[in-house]
Amino acid sequence: MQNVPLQTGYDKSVVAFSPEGKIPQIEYAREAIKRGSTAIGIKTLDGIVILSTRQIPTKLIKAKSIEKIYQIDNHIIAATVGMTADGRALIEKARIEAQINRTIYDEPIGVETLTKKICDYIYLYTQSGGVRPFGTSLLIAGIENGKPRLFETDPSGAFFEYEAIGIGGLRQDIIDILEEKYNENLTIKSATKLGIEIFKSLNIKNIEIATLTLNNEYHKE
Amino acid sequence: MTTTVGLVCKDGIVLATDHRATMGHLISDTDTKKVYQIDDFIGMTIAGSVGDAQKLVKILSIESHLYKIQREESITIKGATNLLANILNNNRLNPYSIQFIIGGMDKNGIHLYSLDALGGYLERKDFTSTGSGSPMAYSILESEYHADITLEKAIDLAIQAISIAQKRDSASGNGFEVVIINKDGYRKV
Repeated sequence: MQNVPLQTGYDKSVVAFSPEGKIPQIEYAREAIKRGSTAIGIKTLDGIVILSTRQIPTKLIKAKSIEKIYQIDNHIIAATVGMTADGRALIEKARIEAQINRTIYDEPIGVETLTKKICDYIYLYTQSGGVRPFGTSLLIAGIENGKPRLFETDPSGAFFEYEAIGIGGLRQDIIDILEEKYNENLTIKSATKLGIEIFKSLNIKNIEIATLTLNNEYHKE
Repeated sequence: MTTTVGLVCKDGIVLATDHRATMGHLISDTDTKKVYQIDDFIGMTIAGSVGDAQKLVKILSIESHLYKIQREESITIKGATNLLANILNNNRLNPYSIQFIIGGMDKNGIHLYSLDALGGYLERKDFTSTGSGSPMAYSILESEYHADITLEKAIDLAIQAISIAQKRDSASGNGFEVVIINKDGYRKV
């Protein structure tokens, strides 16, 4: 227990700020994400690629049951890192929001609109008593008006848009490599290759790969 | 109780209405507004109970505005139509007594829809008409409309259809209002 930071009383409730102006529970949620698996998302000319690590604790497990990449709607996919159960809850919320948009407007939801809806929901868990924030970060990728878009969410409810990004445990290592190797002329094929190379260079073997073309053709392996 | 028409032409939409409001046999108003702007490129006509219609016009305008500031793009014609259809169908046990025509331009092109009181909606590729004068208006539209009609010709045809209806439908009259929506936006003629 010697690694546990000194409990000052400010980190017990989500609602309270610490004297440093931070909300410790959100910092801890980010810590949970840093200790979890990793995912990469890359925007390309002909669609989107998401790669995720798959940690196999024992060879007895059915590898396919460890799922980190999900389809939200025909035109949107998402990867989760951090706490798996929290991720699943957010994925379910995203799927429902996508269908709500279809019933209200008879149209597919925008990727940014969906990201905002999810972040509105995440944010609720930073304001009320008796709850904890989501220990999960999502990579939301999809096709909007014929173009790919890629977003990352944070346990605070903030979100950011990227051309290419890594989230989770090896986030910084992946960002360093992507900053060097990413360019706007990548295709799904070359971006998949790049993603696999990045994971290989970080000694990760088990990978889940999902692609989504501009025509909403989804493929996962 | 009104004649309204909506026409699709190559480069835009024409919406036209008469100006009469009635209460039974009384002509209660002679300069009634029956075509409204919902968004920069979307217009809507109303036929039926004015109070119901004005409330729904207000809701749809506000929803379109909110959509635009939240999503940084305009609501589509189909989106606005579907939203209104849901509101109408939610009240199907105590329905609003109105018919609507919604038309305009969006990122998907030119679109024209007609809606009934229970929220049933149909997309029209040519023309549509609502209100008590619509049978008379349709007779002209059916014989004169053709697929590659120009905006100018469509305005003339819309005026003709409304004025014929005004001759034989006592609930329509007192002149007309014509609106066009094309790439330059919503404009009263």
